Amino acid sequence: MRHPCRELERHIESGAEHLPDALRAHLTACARCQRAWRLHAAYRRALQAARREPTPACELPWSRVQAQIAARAVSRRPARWLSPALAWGTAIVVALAIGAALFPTMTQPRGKTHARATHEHLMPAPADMAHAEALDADAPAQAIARAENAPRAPATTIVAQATPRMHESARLQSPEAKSPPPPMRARGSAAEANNIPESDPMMRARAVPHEDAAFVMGQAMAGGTPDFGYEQAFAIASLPLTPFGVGDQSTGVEYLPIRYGTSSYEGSHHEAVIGSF
Amino acid sequence: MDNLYAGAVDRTLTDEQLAAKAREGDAAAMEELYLRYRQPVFRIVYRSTRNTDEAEDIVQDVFLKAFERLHTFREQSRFSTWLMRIALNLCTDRARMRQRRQELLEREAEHKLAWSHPDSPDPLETVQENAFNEAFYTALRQLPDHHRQLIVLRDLEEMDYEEIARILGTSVGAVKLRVMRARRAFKVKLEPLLRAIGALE
Repeated sequence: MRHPCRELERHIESGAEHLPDALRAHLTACARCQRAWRLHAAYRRALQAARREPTPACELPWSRVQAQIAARAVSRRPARWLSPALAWGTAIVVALAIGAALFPTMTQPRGKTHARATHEHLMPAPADMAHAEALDADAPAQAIARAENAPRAPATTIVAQATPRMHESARLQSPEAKSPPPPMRARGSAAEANNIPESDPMMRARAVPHEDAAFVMGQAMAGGTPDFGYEQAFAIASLPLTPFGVGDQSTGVEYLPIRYGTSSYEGSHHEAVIGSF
Repeated sequence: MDNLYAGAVDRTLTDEQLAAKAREGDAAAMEELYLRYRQPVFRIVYRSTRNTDEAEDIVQDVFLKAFERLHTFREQSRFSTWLMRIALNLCTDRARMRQRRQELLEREAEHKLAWSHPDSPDPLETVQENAFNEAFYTALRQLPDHHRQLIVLRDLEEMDYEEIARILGTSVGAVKLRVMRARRAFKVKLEPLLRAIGALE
């Protein structure tokens, strides 16, 4: 035998139960073939065991299958009321209803209406505006000139009205007076004129003239709860306004944007409320 | 389907004649076909599933599908062949679903391992045979569907190559080649299981 290994493989593939003597002798010499033959023999034995295993009887009654066939036949029968014309009619009515429901929202641009509502919500009352202008009139001429020369952000809504929310924001955002800014000199002389000691900053702040009311209020709010109503205007937003706030180097006052109300997608600068504290 | 509760049918009719009657809605012909092929279909399905309840469900689906699609049955092939093809396809579908429930089947296999033939005279031989049997079916479950079908049809059901070729819709030569490959793959799966039970010593 020229190729006993290949011969044995062929026997195994054909499902042989016994081997010729020549191949049997080869098994003792070739471990690989011996292993393959053992596996084949075990496979045959397992196969015999599996064949001998009794298959249980199928106890599925014909009545059950018959009932299923009948049920499927009924469910497949097309509903008589659902004629093609009625189906099309229903579809058209549903489409029209959906279109009618969506039409009002589609005709009005969402962004504009939202922006207008936000703007109206933020605009202060005329009386408050007048009060703010009065405060502005008392401001030093230098500050006004500085403010007018500075570039302004286009289309920015300026709201100079104190609201409960702004008060709270002011408390959080007003800068701490670590080193007194230059305008404090005037306030300092006013305090000295009234003989108020330096150890009492609140008393000294109350003594300053009205033009520095905004800064004083910021100082007072940073230190404690101010005693004025919510409707009182307290800030003048006449300096350059940007959505990101500006810092006045000469006065050391930082102007921070306070976002109030719901931001619209058109840009937060329309809603930025700038207060000087 | 309107004639679902018809009377008895001539039992001497061939499968194909019964199929023709069943196609026209003859419930008696359907019942006769069902009674003829319920157990053969169940046996093949059970070999694949090893679960009586699941096998019965599949048998029901096989006959439902067969009776619904009788109009597609061409009498070029035998009814039994056509029915077995449906059974194998449904077994394949179920096998995919069954893979998700592998844990449940493992428990079922453990239960079967403890089961023994009541009529067997030699308890030791019974235990050994059960071990072989369990190893066989465990390896069979690990096979891909196309290999498992061939092992079931050829080695367990001992169908001839021509019949298998008709069921699978392929040539005899292709079936032989595929059976050989299926056996090789099966032995690869079977070897560690047989070694574990000491069958290769």
